[in-house]
Amino acid sequence: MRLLIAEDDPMLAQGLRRALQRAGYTVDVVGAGEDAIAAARANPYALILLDLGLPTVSGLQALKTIRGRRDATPVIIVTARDRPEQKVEGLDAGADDYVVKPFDLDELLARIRAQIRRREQRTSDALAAHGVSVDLAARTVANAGGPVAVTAKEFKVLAALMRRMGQFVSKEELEGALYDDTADVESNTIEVAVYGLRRKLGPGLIVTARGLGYTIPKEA
Amino acid sequence: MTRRPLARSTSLLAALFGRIGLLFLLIVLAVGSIAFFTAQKRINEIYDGQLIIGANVLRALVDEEVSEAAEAKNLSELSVEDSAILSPDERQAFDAYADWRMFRIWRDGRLVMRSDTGPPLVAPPVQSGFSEIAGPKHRWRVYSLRVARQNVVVQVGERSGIRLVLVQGIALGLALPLLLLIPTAGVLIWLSLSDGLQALRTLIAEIGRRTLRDLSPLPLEPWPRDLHPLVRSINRLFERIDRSLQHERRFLDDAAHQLRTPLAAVKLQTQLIAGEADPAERQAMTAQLVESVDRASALTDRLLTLARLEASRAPSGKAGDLREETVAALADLAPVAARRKVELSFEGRGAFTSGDPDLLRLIATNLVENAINHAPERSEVAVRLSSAAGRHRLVVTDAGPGIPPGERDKVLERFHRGPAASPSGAGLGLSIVGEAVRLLNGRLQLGEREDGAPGLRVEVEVPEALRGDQR
Repeated sequence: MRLLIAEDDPMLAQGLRRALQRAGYTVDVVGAGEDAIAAARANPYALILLDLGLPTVSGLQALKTIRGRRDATPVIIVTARDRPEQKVEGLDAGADDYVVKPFDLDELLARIRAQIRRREQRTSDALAAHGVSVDLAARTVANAGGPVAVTAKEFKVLAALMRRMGQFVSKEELEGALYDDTADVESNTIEVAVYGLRRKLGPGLIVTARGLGYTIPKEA
Repeated sequence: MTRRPLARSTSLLAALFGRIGLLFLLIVLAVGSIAFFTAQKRINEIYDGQLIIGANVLRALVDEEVSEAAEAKNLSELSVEDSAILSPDERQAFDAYADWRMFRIWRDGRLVMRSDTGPPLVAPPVQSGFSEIAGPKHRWRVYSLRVARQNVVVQVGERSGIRLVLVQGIALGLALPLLLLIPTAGVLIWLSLSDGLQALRTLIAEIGRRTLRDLSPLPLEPWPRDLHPLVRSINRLFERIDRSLQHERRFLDDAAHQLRTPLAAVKLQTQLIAGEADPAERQAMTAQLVESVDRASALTDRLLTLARLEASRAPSGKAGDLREETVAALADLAPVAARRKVELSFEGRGAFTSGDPDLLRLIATNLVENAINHAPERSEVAVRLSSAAGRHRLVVTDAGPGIPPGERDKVLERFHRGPAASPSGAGLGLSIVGEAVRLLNGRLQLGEREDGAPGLRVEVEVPEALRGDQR
């Protein structure tokens, strides 16, 4: 899950990045409206957190530009502007949700999950297949024998595959979900994570196909 | 009609009533006098006419008798009272008719006939005409008719007093209704004035009902045209109050907006610390939290400074020295400059007496701080002081990115953040300088560096302090 934070206040942006990383997301941060537009074009983000008071291009203008190119990425406006007409303007410009600063971190995380859920047309953050259940909100994995401890990378890979159950996910897509723009991708990270998951949850869960990537097949 | 207590003597209503009442009294007096004198004139004309007619009638009546009496040659002995000219009946009738009338008939300078009334005997005038004769008790108006043919003079007269009685009668008849008219008109004038002022009272009540929530302009139509200037002035006042209220609201709005972001950072960092198990991480995050709180309080200080500056109308009357304050500001900011590896330079000798020292300090501090924040490492922030034509000039130059000409007005607005806004710059510094300069009746100008290198040149001009003129 890769998210974009467009926030010009460095302290707040840094705090948000840390909070979201801790919640298992991969995070990119930009500080200006122009950069937000460029980043949204370059990467398929699961969600964008957008401040309205951005320099160069305002957040509202950036949102209109993003929506103008038929990009339906969920956008949550995170702003200090709390007047009803400002909220109406933001939501009408194409935002999916509106959060007023200062916000509660847990609430913001829940709103992010809700937007992603809706985008993936799920009703719940609890996913299950082949006797393995994954709780995206609590970030836990369990099988018939009880809770299973997985690493952060293993969880990200498992969550990405469970979300798109029955579809092949390429290695590049999985890497995009794991790394932000600043990190160097290690070539065998995905293989290491898939190996770990097979060891912990059983060898049949994840299927590999050369040239296509990985998938968790739908249950019959 | 109004049932309010009557206005006090200083009231508009009473003043108007006093003036109109006085005018009305003058008019009544004038009308009365004119009527009196006109009546007197007419009565005089009519009565004089009657005297002339009376004299002629008398002459015609007594013509024969006078001739006879003259021929009897005993004229000198003729007693008027015993005169046989008139029968006793006629005589009595004449006397009863009026003891306020008289007649005398002279022939050849001798009195031939007379009534027993009249003023003392005086020889008649040679010419026909009116004369006034003063008697012992009364004044008489006498008409003398001279008949030259017979050398006869017929005199007919009456007491002047009778005319006065008549004129007085007319004047009295006129005065009574006029006297009745005065109180009636007074009441009517009072009521109409009070009714006319009712519009003013309604307007006052309407203005009194207004609150800060409703400052929409009053419509002109419902009011009499005389009140339109007042309504317009009130509307202009409303407009000014409304503008200043909007200004306040915008300030609060902007201030809340500005404070929420650092507060959001503080809250987020607090929640992160609560969920962090690693002690080293916790310590690093706590340091950041402290920094965020410092930033929020610095911002609060600036907001309060700006709010205070915007609210004040005039600076204190104190005189300060721009050089002293600038040097003090540089001393304060030297550590900041050193941390950012920015060099400070200063030029300016002598005294630079100007207005409020606190405002001068605020200007110098904010300009230098702003320059330091935008200056790249190992560049110089130059501060120059000079004086010309009764004005002191402070120029602060940095080697930062500068401000494009189109943006220069905007950066003076509160909370504006240019693309190059530094992390700690809350976009308030130049607004504060602008307000302080405004209070000192000075001038603030942003421009390019004179040497053409990239950077910003801020020039502030403040008037030299003049004795006895600190505004």
